[in-house]
Amino acid sequence: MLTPSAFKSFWLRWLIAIALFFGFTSTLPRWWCGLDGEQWFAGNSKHVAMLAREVAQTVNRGVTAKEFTSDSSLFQHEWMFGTYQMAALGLLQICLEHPEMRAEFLPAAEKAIDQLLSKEVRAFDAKSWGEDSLTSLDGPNGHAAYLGYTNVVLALHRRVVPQSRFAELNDKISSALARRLREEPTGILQTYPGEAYPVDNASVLGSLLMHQKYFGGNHADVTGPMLQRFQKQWRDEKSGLIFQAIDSRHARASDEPRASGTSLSAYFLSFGDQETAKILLKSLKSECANSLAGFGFVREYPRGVSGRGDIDSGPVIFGISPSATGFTLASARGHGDRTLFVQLYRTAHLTGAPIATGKRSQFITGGPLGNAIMLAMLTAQPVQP
Amino acid sequence: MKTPPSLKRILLEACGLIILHGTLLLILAKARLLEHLLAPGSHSYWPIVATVTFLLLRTFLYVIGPGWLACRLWFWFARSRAKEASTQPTG
Repeated sequence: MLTPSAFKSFWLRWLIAIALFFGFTSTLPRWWCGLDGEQWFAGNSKHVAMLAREVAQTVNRGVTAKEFTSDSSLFQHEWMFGTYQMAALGLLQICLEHPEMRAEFLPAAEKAIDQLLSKEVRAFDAKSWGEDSLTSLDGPNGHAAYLGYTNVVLALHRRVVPQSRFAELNDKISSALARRLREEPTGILQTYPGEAYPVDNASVLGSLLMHQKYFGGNHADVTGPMLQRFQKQWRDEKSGLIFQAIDSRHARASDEPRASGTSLSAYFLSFGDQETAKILLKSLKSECANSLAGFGFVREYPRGVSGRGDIDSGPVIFGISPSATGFTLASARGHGDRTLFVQLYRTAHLTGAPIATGKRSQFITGGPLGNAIMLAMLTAQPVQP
Repeated sequence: MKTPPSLKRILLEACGLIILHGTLLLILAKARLLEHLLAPGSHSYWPIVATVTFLLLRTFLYVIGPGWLACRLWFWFARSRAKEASTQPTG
């Protein structure tokens, strides 16, 4: 026990102060910021319902391209599309995991799908290709992003609602994508003319694998080789990360291997192939994931490589990728990696600043797109074998 | 010579930071900060400044704040005990 005179010692006072500072800093923040992470990992109904209500309200209110901050019309429309797509995925995942919430959230999920299929939302893709993606399904052009992302949602809806009104469209898109892949010598479908991205093709593959597994689709001749490409050809040999872009003429990498594309690819592939999704998560963990005082983060580039951020990764500060950190939450939950999930959630809690108002909650730095993405990532389902 | 902070001042400053953070949280809930960060447009300068300021304040409050407050409280306690010891009659 310290005697009163001991408090006069300069060194003792500072030694205890330093011990207190490090003691508190290394325990309290990680405990506080991780509390909700444990709940999200366990699928706590209250947490899920509150964020889902916010996202459902956004869908019901509707989003317009002009609401988004970018000066680029393409990005504005892509984000409008992305908001509805991620909202639909998140709400449908909730219907799968929490059937008791289906009555509340399925209508909003279906409204998001109707919006995804609307002429206004698919206009960005039509403008780039000079043809409408849904009326040109017999044609040769890839439309990988619009059709792939949409088809994942349609297939997931069929899993939730066996008599889905979107079943016929899901069959048609799946057939068109599989046929285009068979006819494509490079094995990769283009997102826009002359642009091909593995992550968009991961959504194509995820949707085809679901269609094959649950609804009798016969695409094994294209899904098998494509899975191999995700495991080898489109993966950097050294880091194991997926190349962000592929030269659509020569099928060679035209951008660095990066975590934002790898983590989102792992999420899409988790709908249909456990093995590939697990390989990608392993690479992300060994090359890019790290933590500081219990706060997890994912770097955009592999160890020893530095680079700039862009619209895919968000601002890369000290090498940390906001997008990859958020997307990896899905893989961590899908593969049951509680430690990684809670570490990453702590960072999401710190930077996302969740706030609850009444029966709803939102990440205040998220906006409509950020909250829709977080809902989809935080409610990602166990990876399908 | 600078007067050491009183317990009341230490607690008031801590409460002030928490209230400032809470107020910013409510104000910024209306803004779309992530979008400005991911794809800044021509009107993104001030939203980005606000986001960075808010995140710095939040990081300080959540990560460094508890240790910082504990240190300040400890120094206040040690000072009062030392003062107590020096005013006690000896022998």
